[in-house]
Parts: sequence; C-alpha cells; structure tokens
Amino acid sequence: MPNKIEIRELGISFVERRQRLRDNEHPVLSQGEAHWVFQGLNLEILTGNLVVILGPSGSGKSTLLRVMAGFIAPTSGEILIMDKKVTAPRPDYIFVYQEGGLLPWLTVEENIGLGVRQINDLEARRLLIENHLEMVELQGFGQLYPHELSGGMRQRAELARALILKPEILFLDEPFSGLDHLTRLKMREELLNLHLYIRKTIILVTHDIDEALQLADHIIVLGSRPAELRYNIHLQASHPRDLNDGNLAQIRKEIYYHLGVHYAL
Amino acid sequence: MTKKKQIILVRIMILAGILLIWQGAASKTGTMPSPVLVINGLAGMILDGSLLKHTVASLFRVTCGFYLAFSTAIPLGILLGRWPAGEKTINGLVQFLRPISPLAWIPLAITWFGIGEPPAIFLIFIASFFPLLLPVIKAVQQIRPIYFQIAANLNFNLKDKLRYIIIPAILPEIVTAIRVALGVSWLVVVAAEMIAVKTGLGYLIIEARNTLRLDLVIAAMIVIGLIGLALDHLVLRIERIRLLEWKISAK
Repeated sequence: MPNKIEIRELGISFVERRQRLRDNEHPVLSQGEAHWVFQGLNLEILTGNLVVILGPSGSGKSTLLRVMAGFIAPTSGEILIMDKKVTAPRPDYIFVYQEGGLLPWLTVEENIGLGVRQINDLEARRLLIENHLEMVELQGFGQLYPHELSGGMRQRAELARALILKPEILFLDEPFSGLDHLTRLKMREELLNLHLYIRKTIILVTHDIDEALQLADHIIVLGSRPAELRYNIHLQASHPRDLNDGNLAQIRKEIYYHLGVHYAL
Repeated sequence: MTKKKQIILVRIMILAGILLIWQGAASKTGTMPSPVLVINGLAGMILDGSLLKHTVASLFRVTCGFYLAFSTAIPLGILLGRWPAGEKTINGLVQFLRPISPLAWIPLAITWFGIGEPPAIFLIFIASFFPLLLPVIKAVQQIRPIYFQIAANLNFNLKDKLRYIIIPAILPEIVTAIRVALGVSWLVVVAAEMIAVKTGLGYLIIEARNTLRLDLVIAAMIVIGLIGLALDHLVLRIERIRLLEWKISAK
C-alpha cells in the first residue's frame, strides 16, 4: 500500500451562489456562472508528513482541504488516500475548524468525549478524555463550557477532540488565525511537538509564510484562481529552525516570489 | 426605601385604585357586582369544590391538546428544518392555515368529533400547533452548518445528531415557543368550553351568565387570569435551568 495521498487531475467548479458563499475565501460572483477553483491539479503528499498549504486569499486552499476531507465532492478527477478514493467524511480523517468548532452547549469534556461516545465502559472513557485533556494541557478545565475558555484553549480542546479518535490525518484550516501573536507562536510549538509525538499526517492551511517554514516537512504554494501548483518543496531542516539560515532564507524568498511579493525582503 | 419595595407599593396602590373605581361603578349602576360580592362568590365556589373541578377540567384539556401538538409539531419542525425541499413545499399550506383563528374550527370540530372532550382538545391542538411548528423550523434552519460537518466527521447517526446537536441547539427557541403556545391554548380553552362541554372555566362563565350571576363570571375571569400568569411563570422557570446556561452566559 503506497503511503501517500494522491490528488489526480482534480477539478472543482462552483455554479451555485450559495455554495460559494459558504466558503469565505471566495468573493461573491454573479449567480449561475461556472467558476473553476481548480482545474487539473496533480499533487502527491507522503503520509506522516506535516504539510503546509500556502496561497493568497481566494486561491482555494480551504476548498482543497475540504475536498480532501470528503466534505466537497470534486467536479472532476479524484483523491486517493492510501489507495482508497475519498468519497465522504470519515472518522479517521478529522477536520479541525478555524474557530468555534466546539459545540457550545457541551462542556470541554463532553466535546472531547464525542469521538469516543461508543465506549460503554465509563471509567475507560473518562480516563481517555482525561489523558487527552492532559495532552493539550487543559487538565482542570474539563467542566467548563467553550465560551469560558480563551481562544487558544478552545483551539487546543478542538485538537484534543480530533486526537481522541486517533485519526490518520488531521486537516487544520488556518487553525491559529484567531489567536494573538504570542499564543500563535506557542500553539505552533505545541503542534510541532504533537506531530513529533503522534507521527500522523497533518495538513495545515495558512497564509503565514513563517508559520509554514517553521512547521512544514512539505510546503505547497498555490497560485490564484484557477489555482495551480506554484511551488512544491520538501524541507529536511531539523527543529527548531532558524528562518535566517541560508537555505530556509532562500526558500522563503522563493515563496514570497511565488506569492507575487518581489521586494518585501 | 428600596426600589423593590417601591414597586410593590405602587402595585398595591394600582390594585386599590382599581378596586375603588370598581366599587364606585358597582354602587352607581347596580348592574355590576361589587368586589365584595365577587370575592364572596369566589369563596363559595372554592368551598363547594366546583372551582377546583372546573379548573382541573380546563387544565386537563390544555394538557392533552398541548401534548398532542408538542409531540407532532416538534418532530415535524425538525424534519422540515433539515429538509429544505419539504419545507418549501409545505410552507404555503402552513402560512394559509396559520392565520385562521382556532375558534373558526369550532363547527368543524363538533362535526368531526361530536360533543365532549375530543372537539375541545382538537381546538387546543390547532391553537398550539403552529406557534410550536414555525419557531422550531426556523431554529433548526439556523443551526450552524459547521456542526453538521462535525457530525459527519464524527460519524454521527440520526440519534446522535438529535441528541448532541439539534435538540440542544433549538432548546432555547422551544422554550419560548412553549410559552407562546401555552398562552394561546389557555385563551382558546375558555372559548372551546363555551360549547360542547359541561365542565371547565369557560363552561362556568357561560353557566353563570345564564343564571345571571355576573359575580361568578368575574370570579371565573380572575381565576383564568391567575392561572395564565402561573403557567407563564412556570415556563419562564424552565428557561433558567442549567441546560440553557451556555446560551444565556454566552450572550
């Protein structure tokens, strides 16, 4: 079984206005007009990698992530995850939302417990939840409701809810965009540690180039619509990374170039 | 004096004013029973047990009709809220039936269900069905789509979706809808009891009128008002339970 995710000749087009409005990456176009987010996109991702997808607003990064997670059916082409075609959302490929993905009427514990609701042994279930609260450093906060937590804590709780399912792939859609700068940096560090610990595939969408350089094993840069692959690079540098290091600085320059910023540095 | 005490004082003064005007009007016209007479009548009905009997009869009908409406309108509302095509199809019919006063159904109710409890219960059902159905449809439609994506991701079946997403999400709206529907039911039951039955507060009023006992008419009206008030308070209490805490404190 090949340990990779293959995107083959992927095409996605939206016709209906309603569908486009759901995706805030896309500005509203006139109704009824077919509009291609992707056309003939080919891509290969190795499992176990932390992959970062970069691109300007409206390049369809989030759409690509949703297609991979099975929420949107591709118009043409297909996606194979370890040789299995993606057709619908599954509990082993978990999508983590930008923010507000926790159910507000359930406590943190109950939210995290959703993924293991079939386990009948209450004590085993409680232990599992407790372990995952600890993993994201939220021990003692289990009884609180999401609105009683800070943004960073909510994001961590959502990660815990995803991790309890032991997913093969985690899809993160701009997970840290709602957080303040310091919390972002801290969450990056935690995500990296988590990845080193669980060794599962993490696919993360962001528009923050430094975030990508610091985290990724593999960076994918998408151009604007219809989105095409602009840049595709595997990074071997060990962590923690110094972004001013010659090689990384060069890659950063190239990414800026491919995103259309030529004189920023 | 605290603010709360002031409010209570003003309320007492308003009540005293009403009683005074009432007493004045009663002694001047002679057709209107005086407050004392009404209180006497009320006491009489309490003592001989007839008030309790009629009140229980009315509450029984409201309970039956309301439960019938609740147990059909809530599932139907959830179904239509999650099924846009169905909602669109049925919306015209609902909007057409909704403005027809439940009282307009009285002749049909008697034709279909005869005399006795069934037509009265049917009228309560009609009265509380739409105030329950429409808010539920709307509330279900307004649940964030993201929650259903999570449900798909976590492999929720229908029962899980209802238990973890739909019901908690619409609970605040359901409580408000119950308040409105119960209010309307209580309005309608009195009218429904003026026909077709021999018990209930509505029957009490008609019977008192037929025997020219206006004091009992007013006494029954007072009881109806008080019970309506109590029902409303009861539902308001539900709003404060822990299940809804997240919504209240999140706002």
